[in-house]
This record gives sequence, structure tokens and C-alpha cells, in this order.
Amino acid sequence: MPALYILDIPEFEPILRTARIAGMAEEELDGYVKVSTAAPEIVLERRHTDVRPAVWFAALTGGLEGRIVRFDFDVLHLAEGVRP
Amino acid sequence: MTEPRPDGGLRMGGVDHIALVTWEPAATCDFYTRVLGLPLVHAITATGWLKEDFPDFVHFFFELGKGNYLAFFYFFGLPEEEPPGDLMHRSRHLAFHVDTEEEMLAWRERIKSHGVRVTHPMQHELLESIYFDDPNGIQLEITRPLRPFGDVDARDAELTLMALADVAGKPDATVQDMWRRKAEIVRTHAGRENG
Repeated sequence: MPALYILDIPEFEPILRTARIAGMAEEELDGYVKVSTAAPEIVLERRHTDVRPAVWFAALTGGLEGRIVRFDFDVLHLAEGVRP
Repeated sequence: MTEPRPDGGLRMGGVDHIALVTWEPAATCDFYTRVLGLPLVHAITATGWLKEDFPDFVHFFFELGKGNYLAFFYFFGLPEEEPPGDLMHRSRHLAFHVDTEEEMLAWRERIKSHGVRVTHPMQHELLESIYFDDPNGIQLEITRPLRPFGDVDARDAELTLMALADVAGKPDATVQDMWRRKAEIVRTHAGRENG
């Protein structure tokens, strides 16, 4: 299962909220929230978060599990495994 | 005297000066005094006594306030360096601090009024900034905080630099490798600190 680790600061709160609305599982990790799903992929869209690009492109600063399939202005797409 | 740290250790008392090199001393002095309003407070002129191939020089200082100075060297007879590429130009820069958005925007108007090209404000994660170049092509920034740095930021920075140290320098290391390592470090530390 892929996961992203969201640093618990106000700037990333909209990203966490978007993951929450999408029904993803959350795990508190002392200043970070690990967000994951039972599905083999995570897809977040920036338009749902309404964060500015500098914040969006820093969204993985807390860490990730899996691999990045796509990470551009519009979409953050993670999948399981290290290699395609 | 610089106030000691709570643990009694040594602490730096801020920046005294940063020294840069100019091949355009007149334009540099005009820019920093007239456009940015920094007083010229000191200039030393000397032969290059430090070592044999050290050129004769002028070293002049502008006052930034709060005990901080911006200094330039002018070296006689030194061939001008090639300008840096775009990435190094953007990366090696000097950022001046203001407290508020109003001050940042007022500076933007002032810089524009002197015919200097200046960017629109750009919001980063915790800072908002405008950018412009001095007559030497050195990138300058005026930045204001969007919020103060907190303990959570400092702790995260520590874990990030641990992750970076683990991957940097490895062949073909990517930011993705660092983020994977960061997640491992976050998990380890959360387990440790929660008992």
C-alpha cells in the first residue's frame, strides 16, 4: 500500500483534509499523519486542496511509501512498490 | 555581548557581514545607497598584502541595520567572471527581511520606480518574496514571514537532513529516495518518542 506522511503544520492541513474526505486511513506519528488506503494507489488532486503550488509541491516532505507515478501541478499519484 | 544560549553554550550574534565581489563599483554604490537606501559606512583600500597573488583592492560596506553589513570587494586588474547559469543565479542570493506585506509591496514600488525589474510577490511555504537583481547580476530578495518558524518545523528539518544525509551522494539518488527514507525515519522516531 502506498502512503504519504503529511507534516502536521497549517500549510498542509488542506491536503490532509482532502485525504480525509476521500476516506483514507490516518495514523498519527508524532507531528506527522500517515495517510494510506487499502487500494494499491493514492490519487490527490490539487484543485480539491486549493493550496498554492509551493505548498503542493512540498506535500511529500514528511515522506512516502511506494512510488510516485505522477506529481505535477494538478495530480499527486502514488502507487505501491518501488519500481513500476 | 551576545546573549548565551540557555544551555550555556556559544551562540552566534547574527550576521556581521556578507562579502561579495563587484566589477561595477560605481553602479553598485549607486544602487545600494539610492535604490535600497543603505548607508555607505566604511571603505578600506589596500594593496594585496594577504598573499602574493592577491590583487590590490577596495572593500566597502553598506549598513543593513541590526549590526548587519553588506560588503563588496573591488579587485584591481581582476578579469571579470562569467555570469552564473540560471540555476546558480537563482540559488545563490541574498534575502532582506521585512515584517509585513505592506512593507514588501512598498519596497516593490520603490524598486520599480528606479527602473529596476522586480518580480510579482511569490508565496513559498512560510515566506512571501519579491526578487530583483543588483547591478552585478546578484539576485536579491525581499521576504516577509507568512508565519514564524515553530518547533515542529525545526524537528522536521532535523529528520529531513537525516534522510538527506543517508541518500545524498549515492549514485542516482533522487528526491523520491529521500522521501522514502524520511518516512522510515519518521516511523522510527515516532515509535521511540511514544514509548
